[in-house]
Amino acid sequence: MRITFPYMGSSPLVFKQLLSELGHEVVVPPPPSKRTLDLGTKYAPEFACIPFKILLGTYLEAIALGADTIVSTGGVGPCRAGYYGELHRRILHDLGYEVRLLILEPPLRRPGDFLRALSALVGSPLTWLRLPGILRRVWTKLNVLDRVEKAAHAIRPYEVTPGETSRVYNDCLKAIDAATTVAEIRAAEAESLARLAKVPQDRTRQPLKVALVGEIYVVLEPFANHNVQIMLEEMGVIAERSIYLAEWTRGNAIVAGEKNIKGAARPYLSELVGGHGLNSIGETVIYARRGFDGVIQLAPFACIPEIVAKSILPRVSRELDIPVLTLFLDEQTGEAGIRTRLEAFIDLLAARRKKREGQVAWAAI
Amino acid sequence: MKRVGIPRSLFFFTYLPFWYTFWAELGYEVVVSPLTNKGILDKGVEEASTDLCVPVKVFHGHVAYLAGQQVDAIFLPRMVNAGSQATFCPKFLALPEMVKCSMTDLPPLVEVRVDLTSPWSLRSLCHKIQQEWAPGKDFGAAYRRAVLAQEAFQAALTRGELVGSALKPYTGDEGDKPKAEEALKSELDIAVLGYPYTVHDAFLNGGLLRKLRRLGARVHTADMVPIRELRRYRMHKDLFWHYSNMVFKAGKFWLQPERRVDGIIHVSTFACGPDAMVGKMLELEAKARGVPLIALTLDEQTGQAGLDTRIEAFVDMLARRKTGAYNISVHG
Repeated sequence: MRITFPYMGSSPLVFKQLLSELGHEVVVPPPPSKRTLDLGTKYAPEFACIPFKILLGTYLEAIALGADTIVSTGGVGPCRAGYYGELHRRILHDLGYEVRLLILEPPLRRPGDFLRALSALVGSPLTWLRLPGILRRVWTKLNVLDRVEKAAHAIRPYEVTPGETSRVYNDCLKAIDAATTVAEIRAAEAESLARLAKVPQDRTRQPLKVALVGEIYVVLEPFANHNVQIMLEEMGVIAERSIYLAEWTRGNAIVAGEKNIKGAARPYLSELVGGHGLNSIGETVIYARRGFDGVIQLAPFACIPEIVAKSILPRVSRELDIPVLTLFLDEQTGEAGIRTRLEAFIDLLAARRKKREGQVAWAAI
Repeated sequence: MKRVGIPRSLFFFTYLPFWYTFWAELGYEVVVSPLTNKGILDKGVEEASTDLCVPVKVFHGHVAYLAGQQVDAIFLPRMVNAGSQATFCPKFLALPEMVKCSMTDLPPLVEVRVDLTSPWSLRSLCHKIQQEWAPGKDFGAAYRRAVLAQEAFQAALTRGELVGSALKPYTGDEGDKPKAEEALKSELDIAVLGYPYTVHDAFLNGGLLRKLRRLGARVHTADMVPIRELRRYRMHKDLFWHYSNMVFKAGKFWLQPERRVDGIIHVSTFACGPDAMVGKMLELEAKARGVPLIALTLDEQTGQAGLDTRIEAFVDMLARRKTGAYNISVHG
């Protein structure tokens, strides 16, 4: 079984370790590129969302590299993502690729499907015995990746030499990738944090604070959002992302968390609308309370839950006095367009701050 | 007499008889908004968020129309579940909030959460509405008559009547009923698959059904298939959305050898989320059975001439295929 998986943010390092420790030959897909998206767009329905298209492109690239099995996640809606696997399978089979899709469905809602996929992944009884140890190592790595990435994001708005943080961070990723035992992973973390702390910083800056909310794939995968988080940070803005994979997994798959997000959203939307629609609203409320200067909603074009959120966010923005910018992303989105809109948004936030601090009397914003 | 407004849009193409009768029996004068027209569409486009699909924009237009009719309330339920595993599109789930966020000066809204997962939930929901909006009225009679009205409507549809004419007792409009001179000329059977609010909104789809009849085709829609027939088409994993399951399974129904149609028209709207999935699945099914399929994507910019040309070309191609004038593969 030559197995592959969707590419999202820094998670491939974790999936690679998980699947190879389970004893599979792993085909690590190439990071999404223009070619990936073109491939996906060619065979996907026109109005499928950009994560669907990137995933389809990724699968096709991995199949070309010899993958015969794809592992991905399912869901029970009403977001379309839960049905990706079913449709990807139909499209790939129609194209003549006899690949096998192992879809990990929510264990409580579709236990049969979940167990079938799980036992195919875990295989022999001996592996079951090793499973707790494997999960421990993988979970450690996932958390370490998140912590190191967060550290890099915290430093970048203050960096003296543009691009320095990213250069160091990429080296750190290689070190973490090479580490496999818990001790090695922890050592790689300590070393990475120490190296990042040495990046020359100008701490006299007082950056604006912006939050990124929205649909999980376009929030986590820089290719899908034209690297918007780093783009903002290199403009000297603190950009806090609402989703990190380890926290998200803890809050959704392990314990039922996120209660405060739902509570914060309740005055504006009381119904779950699938995907991250309710989160986008609840998180905007929370970031407004935390004193952020603005919120950017990242959403795939035609994403139903995010369209719902976008229709309701103007009210949140008005009542809590926090500017919100929505960026819809698809295969037509260009980086220059994103950059221009971000610059205009940041200008607006800067003017608001000056007005608040009484530095200008005119700002009619 | 108190007046309640019902927008003729979205799920009311499916559930109007029930709710019309129920409110009327509670002693309300029921005001149903007219068929979608240019004014309603423009108003909806103006009020709704730009990224929404055209049916939801049109819904906003219908609500705005009713708001100008001195009604005491507008009935705006949140459709969550129609009694199966499937739910509705997220835009239906958040409809009351979206309407309230973009429109002000609305009359009171009757916002109820319609979740029919358990068999008794419709009854208790209606009971709640009666207690709040028409205290002292006879609940039992109103509920029973509403159920009967809905059953009569469903029966008319399964007999082959179109939604528009089956709704005539409630709306006063004839709908898409063909005139005598538009009698059937040829033997083409075409399944028009799409959500009731696009297939039966003649303004949105440019009079598609009437046009097809004029071109001599027998029209079959998803609503004509009895629910128990649809249930027979099991999938490894059902779609999440009630209407999408209906459309896809109706597609399978009309593709069965004993009643295979000559062609399928999939009516969809620009950037419809569920239809991105349904459309591709229908396409693959039709391809496997060798039945031609055309996808019509509607939005507020759709021009009549462009639609007409495509429909005429499609029907021409089906007719030639049937007479054997030429028989080319239509799926490449």
